[in-house]
Amino acid sequence: MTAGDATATRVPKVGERFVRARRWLSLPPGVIVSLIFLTLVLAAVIAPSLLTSTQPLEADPLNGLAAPSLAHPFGTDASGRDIYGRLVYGTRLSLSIAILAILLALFIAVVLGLLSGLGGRVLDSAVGGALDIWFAFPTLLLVIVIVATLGAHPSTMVIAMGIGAAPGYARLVRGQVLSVRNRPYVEAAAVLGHPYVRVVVRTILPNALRPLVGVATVGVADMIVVATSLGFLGLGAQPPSPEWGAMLAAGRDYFSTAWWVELFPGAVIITLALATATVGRHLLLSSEGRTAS
Amino acid sequence: MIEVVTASAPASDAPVVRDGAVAPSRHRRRFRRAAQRLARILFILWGVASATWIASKARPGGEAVAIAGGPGTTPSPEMLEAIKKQYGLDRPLITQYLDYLRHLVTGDLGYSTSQYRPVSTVIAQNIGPTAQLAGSAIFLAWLIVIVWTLLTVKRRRPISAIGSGVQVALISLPPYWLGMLLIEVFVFRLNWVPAFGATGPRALILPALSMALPLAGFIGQLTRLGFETTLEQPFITSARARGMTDWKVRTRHVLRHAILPGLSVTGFALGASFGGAVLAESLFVRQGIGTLLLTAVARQDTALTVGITLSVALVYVLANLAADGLYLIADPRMKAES
Amino acid sequence: MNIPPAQSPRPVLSVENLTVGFGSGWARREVVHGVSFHVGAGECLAIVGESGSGKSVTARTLVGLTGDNSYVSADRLQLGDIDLRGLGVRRWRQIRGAEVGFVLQDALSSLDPLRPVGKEIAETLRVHRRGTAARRRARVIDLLRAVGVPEPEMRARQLPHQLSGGLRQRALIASAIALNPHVIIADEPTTALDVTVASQVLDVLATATRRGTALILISHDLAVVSRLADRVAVIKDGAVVEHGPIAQVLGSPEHPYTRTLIDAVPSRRHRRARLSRTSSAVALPGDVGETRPAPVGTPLITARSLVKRYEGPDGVIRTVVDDVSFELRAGETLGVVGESGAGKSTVVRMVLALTRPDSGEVLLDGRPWSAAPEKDRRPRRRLITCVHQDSLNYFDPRWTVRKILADALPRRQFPDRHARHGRILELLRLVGLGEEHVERRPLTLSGGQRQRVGIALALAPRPSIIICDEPVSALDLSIQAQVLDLFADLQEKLGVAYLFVSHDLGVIHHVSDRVVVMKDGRIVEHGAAETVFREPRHPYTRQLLSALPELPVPEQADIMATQFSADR
Repeated sequence: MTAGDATATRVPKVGERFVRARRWLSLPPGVIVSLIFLTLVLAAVIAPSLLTSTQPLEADPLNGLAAPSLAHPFGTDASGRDIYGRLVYGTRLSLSIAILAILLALFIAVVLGLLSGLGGRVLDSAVGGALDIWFAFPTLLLVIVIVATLGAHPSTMVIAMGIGAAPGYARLVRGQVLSVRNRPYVEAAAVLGHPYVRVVVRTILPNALRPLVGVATVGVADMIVVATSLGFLGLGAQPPSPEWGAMLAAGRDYFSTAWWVELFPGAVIITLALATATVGRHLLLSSEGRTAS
Repeated sequence: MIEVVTASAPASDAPVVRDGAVAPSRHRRRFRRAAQRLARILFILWGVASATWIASKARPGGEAVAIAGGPGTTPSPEMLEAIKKQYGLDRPLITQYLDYLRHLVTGDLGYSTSQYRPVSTVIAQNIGPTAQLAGSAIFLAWLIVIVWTLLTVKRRRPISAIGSGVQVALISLPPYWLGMLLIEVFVFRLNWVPAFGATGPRALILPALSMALPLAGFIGQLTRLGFETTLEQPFITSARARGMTDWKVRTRHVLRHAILPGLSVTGFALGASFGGAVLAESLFVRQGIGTLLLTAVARQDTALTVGITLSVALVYVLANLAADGLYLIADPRMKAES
Repeated sequence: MNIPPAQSPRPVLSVENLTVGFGSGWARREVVHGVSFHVGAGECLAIVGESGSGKSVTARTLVGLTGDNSYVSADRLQLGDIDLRGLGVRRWRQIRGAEVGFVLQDALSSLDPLRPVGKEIAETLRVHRRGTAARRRARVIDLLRAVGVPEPEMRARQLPHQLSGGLRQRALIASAIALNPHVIIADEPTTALDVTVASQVLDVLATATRRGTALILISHDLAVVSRLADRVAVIKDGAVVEHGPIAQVLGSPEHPYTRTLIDAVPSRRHRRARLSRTSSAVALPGDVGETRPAPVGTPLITARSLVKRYEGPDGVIRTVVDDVSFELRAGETLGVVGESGAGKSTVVRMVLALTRPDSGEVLLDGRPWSAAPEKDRRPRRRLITCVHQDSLNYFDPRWTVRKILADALPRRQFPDRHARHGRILELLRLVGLGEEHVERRPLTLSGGQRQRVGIALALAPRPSIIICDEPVSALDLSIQAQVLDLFADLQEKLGVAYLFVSHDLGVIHHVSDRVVVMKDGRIVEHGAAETVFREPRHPYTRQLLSALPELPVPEQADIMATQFSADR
């Protein structure tokens, strides 16, 4: 197919600013809703008292397993603690575990991926081989074993999850680097006479790592689910900590009788995972150029 | 230093032949490729075994202490000496390592201190149910994916949007939470399926479903993308121009292309399912290596932990091999290059 | 515009006042405005237009595949006795394939890559429930034979990528004619093919018309169309601007757009003449110092006995470039012409020192180039730059035009923003763009504009040599004409030498001083452009020239050509 000149349009400078502002409003509705929810979450992390008046450890044994009401919108758990309040306070813990884990995983991944993608064939084989071995351990299994060995504690959770997720992301980074490295515009830089280091830093790296922000955001969603899985198995933060996974594990026995103990923590986990995943996917799509931004 | 790029290195071990002559015979090349793959698999297995061995040696507090009862207990020095002698921990490391490898090759994974039986026996008895679970999960997941994709891609706007949204939602579901929901509905309220701890195919449905749905979201996204991309291809227009119905176009043409990206991650998904089975087995109180692993780590049973990890890694490697094979069957274009 | 009724009895397909648009409500966009045409049995009607003209949309409307969210209206849309307006889905399916055949371009993506070719052809028969499986298989073999595919039994079992481009296209045509439809619509059937292969494929289509099938041929290529068409309709911006018998339209065109299209064809009539109406766009801001005096002595590029071999995916070692030697002197244009697989791209890469030759060498200005280590080459790289077929791929996807061009400016010469900005504007003006393009992203530019930015990028380091690797092959004819004129202007003002690579003989003939013809990695003929084209010696060159469709040019066109040259 041939290309014509028909699409040439002149965009005046003033108009460009207007267009940019309108782009915010033209986000898909799902993304907007997710962003709103994430703002609430951010508030919960920074200033939980804005969202709830109860304290997470404030037990009221007489009021145990009370159904949702105005005073306790999500009901109370076996010890009479307000579930909603615990969820709000637990946000900081759960979210920081997830974010730290993904940051650790990405750090390892970028280092290894760059070494492998940019280095010569020998280095690529070496790192690639190590990644293959690493990758052969299923993530959850690896995380369980590490946490069990080091002891169940938020910090060990972070380390275990970071190590468990790293090889997958490393492969991704490596793939990106290799793909960008062979692109015509990289070769064009070489033809212009730019030295190799300049080409790597100015062209290869920014283009290869571009999707990482989106990947990281979706990854946070994954990490949240993994962290809560650990909690469910009893390998996460221990009660009475308001960590979401632990809350789920604790509520397990009461599912038939007091469904709210299980349902609401789960619903919050799902919503947060969904929200981060939605925003992350949108970031990924726009960084790929699917939207002409 | 700019790399001078060549499309592929000039064949070094192929004899310099006149233009047009075929270098080594096709069969010899295929054999060479197969041998390379086998070598790679063995390398990975060796790496997994070695990594696990190193990790088992690097326990906090020392291995002997762990056997004695774990950190926290304070066994006497004589007891430690006795343990070391019994388990051969006083020998030089390299000897222990070679011994370990030797045992592995013969299938001897050591002795489980928590189950009081050889590790290989324990694993052999417990891997079956997990394999059933993981296998059914993948099968169900693909079934859901194919049906869902066929029905909801590129239809009227609301249907497509819902279809896509559901897939995103499925990935975000914690599997155990989903499992609990399923239990609540189908076991307690509707009584369709037996409660915990049962065996047999009916007991398999809910746990498999709880694993299959998030998988379906994950694989489904890839398949959906593949479907949408394929629908825009010119050969689809050609097919429609021949008078084909929309449904036939989707099933006969698009589907085969759309499943390719999902197929390439199925190997990984199977391996991950073996790991993820831990949650389902714990929730539904099923026998399997997942619950076995939890017991093993709880009781500091190093040999069993190592054994389970190795077995799952082996399954993963084999699953990838099978998935690659399936992919080659589905997409013969790769045959020339693979 | 109404076409006068055809001489022949009732037309097979007749269209009157066809209007097609997309979108709904206030987002409606009309793409085809009241188009009318008709075609009779055994006749070939060509619909010629550039991209965006609506020709493909029209073609798809004729098989009811306009797409979702579209609306179609016409006074008359008739296939034989069938009124195509408002047909139900089921009726359309009966018609498609059986009454109307559709052939798309590029069979590699128009045939299912995962299914054997024979199955694809048989599908037409199967969908319309003709015959048993065995009879269908036999028919497929017959069809393949009819379209000239050798060893049809073997070929039918192969996948599209295992066939050559020409064979694939024939197979695609076979699937369209399987049920002997009354009309075949071919949308750019030869665009992705080499010239020699393309003419063979056109012959296949011609055979179909001789058997009485009506043919609607959609193309952007006037010359290709002139071989086959009886009548032609020129379409621009969704409306037919001219129509009539082919000889008449090409010989004495009435509409200015038709004239633009005809003039833009770089055939031998317009040697060295301007192809487009644009005035010389090279408005240099008084920096005449760019003109170089033509130096004598060492040629700028000397290629000696270049050889390059690659191992293909099946293990066969192919010699892609076999003993290629040539010279490029200052200020001249050396044309390299050959079909795909001739080795032209590999030669380009070796000249650019991106690939090392297996043997032989390239000298730049008499000094070693291919053999020199990279650190010696780097400072000299600014002397030789390249313009590619698809410049977009060669731009960093994140960058604006400004960053793209600034990246190519040597930092020592342009240390500050102000100096760089000045030079960027200068470069843009050289290629016919302006300040308004500085902050644009290449994705938002048209194909022609992107190529211009690519040329500006190639000019930035003030090179002595520009390698042009199919720089206009992806452009519409009229845009191609403008860009070729730009190349000519730049050479005249700046004295750069061009190594111009193309598969298009017309283009090569138009731009080159000397020519090199390549086939299968070897140079089969070389010499002055006029000589090679007028008296080709090698049989391959003769074959290429004979396959090149010529526009029938009566004296009037000649007169116009001379007038045109005088305008400069």
